Amino acid sequence: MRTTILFILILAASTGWAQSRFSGQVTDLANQPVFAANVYFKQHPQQGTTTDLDGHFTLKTPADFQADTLVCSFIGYQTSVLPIQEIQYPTNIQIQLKEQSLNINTITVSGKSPISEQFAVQQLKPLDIYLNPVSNADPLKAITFLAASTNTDESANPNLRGSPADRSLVVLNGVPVQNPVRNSQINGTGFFSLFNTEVISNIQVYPGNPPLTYGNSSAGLVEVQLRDEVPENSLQLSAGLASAGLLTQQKIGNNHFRLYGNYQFSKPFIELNQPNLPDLKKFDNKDIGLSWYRAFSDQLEVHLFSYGIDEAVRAHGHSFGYSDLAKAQKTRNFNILTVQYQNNNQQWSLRHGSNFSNSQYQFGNLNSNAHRQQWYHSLNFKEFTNAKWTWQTGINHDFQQAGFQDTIPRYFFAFAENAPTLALDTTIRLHQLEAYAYASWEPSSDWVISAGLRSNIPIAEQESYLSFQLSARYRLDHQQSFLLGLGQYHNYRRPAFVGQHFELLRSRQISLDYDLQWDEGQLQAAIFAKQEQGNQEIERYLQVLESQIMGTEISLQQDIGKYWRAEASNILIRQRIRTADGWQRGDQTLHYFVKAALQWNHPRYLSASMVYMTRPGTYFTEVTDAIYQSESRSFAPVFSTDFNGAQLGAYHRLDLSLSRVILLSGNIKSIIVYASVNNILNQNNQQVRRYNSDFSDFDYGYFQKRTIYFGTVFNW
Amino acid sequence: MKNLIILLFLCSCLSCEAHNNTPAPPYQASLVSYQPTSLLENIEQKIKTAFIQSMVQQDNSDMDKLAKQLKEVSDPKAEKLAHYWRAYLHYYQTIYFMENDEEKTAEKHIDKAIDLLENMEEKNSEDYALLAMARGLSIPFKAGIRAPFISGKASKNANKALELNKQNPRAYFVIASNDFYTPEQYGGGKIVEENLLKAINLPAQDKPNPYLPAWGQQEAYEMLIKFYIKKERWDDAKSIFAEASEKFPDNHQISKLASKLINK
Repeated sequence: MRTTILFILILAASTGWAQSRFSGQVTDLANQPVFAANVYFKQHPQQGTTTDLDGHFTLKTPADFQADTLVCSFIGYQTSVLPIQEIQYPTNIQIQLKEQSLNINTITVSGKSPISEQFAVQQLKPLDIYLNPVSNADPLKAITFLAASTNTDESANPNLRGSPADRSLVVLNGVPVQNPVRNSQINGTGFFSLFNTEVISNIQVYPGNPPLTYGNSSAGLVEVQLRDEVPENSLQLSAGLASAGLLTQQKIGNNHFRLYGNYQFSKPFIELNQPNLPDLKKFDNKDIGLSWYRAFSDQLEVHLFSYGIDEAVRAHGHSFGYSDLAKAQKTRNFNILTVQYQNNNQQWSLRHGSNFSNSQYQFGNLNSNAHRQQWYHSLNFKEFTNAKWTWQTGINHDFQQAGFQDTIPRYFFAFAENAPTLALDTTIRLHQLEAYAYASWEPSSDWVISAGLRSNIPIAEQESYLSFQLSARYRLDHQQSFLLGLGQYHNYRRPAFVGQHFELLRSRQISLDYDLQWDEGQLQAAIFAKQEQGNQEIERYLQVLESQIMGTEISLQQDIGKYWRAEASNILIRQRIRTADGWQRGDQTLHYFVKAALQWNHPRYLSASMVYMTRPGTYFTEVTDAIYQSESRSFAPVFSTDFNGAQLGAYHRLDLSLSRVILLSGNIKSIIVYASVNNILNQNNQQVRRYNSDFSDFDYGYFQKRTIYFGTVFNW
Repeated sequence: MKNLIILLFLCSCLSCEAHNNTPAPPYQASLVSYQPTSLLENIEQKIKTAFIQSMVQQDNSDMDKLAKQLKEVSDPKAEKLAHYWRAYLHYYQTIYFMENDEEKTAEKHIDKAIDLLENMEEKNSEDYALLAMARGLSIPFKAGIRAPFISGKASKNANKALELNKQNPRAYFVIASNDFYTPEQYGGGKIVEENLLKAINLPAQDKPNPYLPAWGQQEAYEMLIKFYIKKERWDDAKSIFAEASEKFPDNHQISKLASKLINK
């Protein structure tokens, strides 16, 4: 009897305990106790407790707990839920928390960042572009001030680490935009890009080892992302010496619109700057851009960008002893549509691009009409497996068609109007189908490692190829990091008037970048080596079959006091090229390319920058003699056997730019006034040697001499 | 006088903390177990109290003492949390020395806060939010030409905080705060409102937890009223002021904004 009573008492006591308190321990996957985790009943979230240092918790149960669920949560871990009915031992509950993988909301934000972001050498935000001393508010011009930019033609088209622009790729919202500059047909132009900084959210620059999430680059990559949401409605009107423009940003319901247009005219600019623009006669450009963004839900968002430009330029051209007015005209439209869908830790993106252009170019007996179209589609899948692993895979198809209805000189040197010509009517097409996989692994906070593979899926008799890469970033501490990249890459050369075919190019690269940041400055350095293969037709008489590039670069930025910043960089490039005659000195060889800037930025008063750039003149092959050819009715040049044995004069340029933002309290929120003087010293920087008709004499064509520009922007 | 105002503000902060951010009673009642890490319990409150004491007495010893105690937390299970609160304490020490015109010492403290957070392994949303806030406070020391750069870094940290937890009101507050203090000439002031509205409409904590941060909501209210005043949106300013005064009646920083709304 006593035993029975004791048993009943024990049972009652244990049942009573089970119903009044729960206790247990919370650990992580490594069985380490989790301190300060929340433990609570789902129906009574405010009556929870937290774990102690050993992960233990004791929780008083509410009256109606049987149908409830025990919840355990902590920052950085996935929330764990445990239905009460599944708990066998209420006083010894073991809860194991898993490390948090990024949730659906996470992807909404992080999904917009490229998976390869950590391997970008430079990242630029709009403010970086506006404050960049050489950008003139143009996003691609801003890149030309980087040490890695080796543009020797004053163009905005990215030349990175000694490789020609047509080996690099510019992508906008994940879609390639070929030849992203204006007026690119005539020497000395292509000065500005097609992009408007106001519609851009950020830019990643990969001077080498382009991430294989994109194909068609065998040099570097510039990845541009568009702004999506409009934070506040605004209107901007701008007027300058050579342009007038409008930009409006409107949020209408859940639709975010940005619409802009510019008209560029030449008369005031040319008249004010004569006689320093001897070759430029006229330009007349109109462009319009529209961006529409809408998030249909937390999961689904759509972004459309559409752009059109109509441009016309007249300038004096010179070629092989012939001088004449060159006329160029081009209309172009490109459209980019991206659809992104997020689901749990996964993201799908569909990207579509279309591009259409018609261009005419007339010079002497050359009359070229080019019609291009491009259709690009890609389907990409990204998964955030956990905080350490992210991977992405996808497939893309790029269709390009180029049609040339040309009348070209029968002899490459004979441009005179009465010289014989050839009529060409060529249409060429390229189907490029590729698949890729890219993974990024962050084993610790010091290391990030990525690997990528990209292969084409040959269509018809296409040559098959495989691109691969490995990149690693090591953070020595929070100030210093090293970035190692190596790989093999492929791209198709874009057909042009010279070289009317799609040529497969390949490169192998290795590079090591070092980055040191401190409170007042930054030091970056790099060494790199590249081997570039593939037939690159530079002129009708010159084909580069292979190129070897070695280089090193260094840049330093230091703030002095509150408002001054000094920065300087240098890059050394040694290039050897192989032509049909063997290995030769490459024209991209640069024994130095120094860029230096001094800036004074005071938000209230003025932003001023002085920029100096200098480099040796580019190498070229001299014409040593000429023979009159009756069939061409011209003198045929005889080139020196010393390939690239001559050099243009050294390049020096000093620019000044000033701007001031005046904030107002009325309807007009601010007025920006700006002015710039390029090539203040009016230096004669030789761009090309120009011969007379029998090649017995020559002079030089020069880069832009001193020019003044100013304008104003009104913001409502 | 200046100290008195600061004192009033800080007292109001404290009372509001107790009033709102730490709904302790039901929570404490269920807490029948032990709390061996008493130092870290309600640590946010302790730091603010030490700060007020330091300001009143014009003596940093209370904060120093707390800093020393936090530094001595060596148990690896609590070390990360202790690091967070050490950084938070350095943030307040920075304000203390700024108020006392000791710029060099203030700068050392904010640098230390940034250093502690930057070196933290596997940072979570709260770590990034505090790092962003600390960077924002470092701007006055570095400022000028560096301001956009630091602001950019702060913005990146704040966005990371948001990536890791979209329900973290402190992440929204620091995004707004960073934009609020970025000069309009550099494009600042455009995303203040939307982020502060999110910050004030989210709970200070997912679940009451005496070890984890709860700051940000009052600060968000105060900044939103200031923002509306700056934009001369008087009706919005009055409406948010009324809401804030009801939620945080003892917050001096909020109540003193009333003078700017009279006759508007």
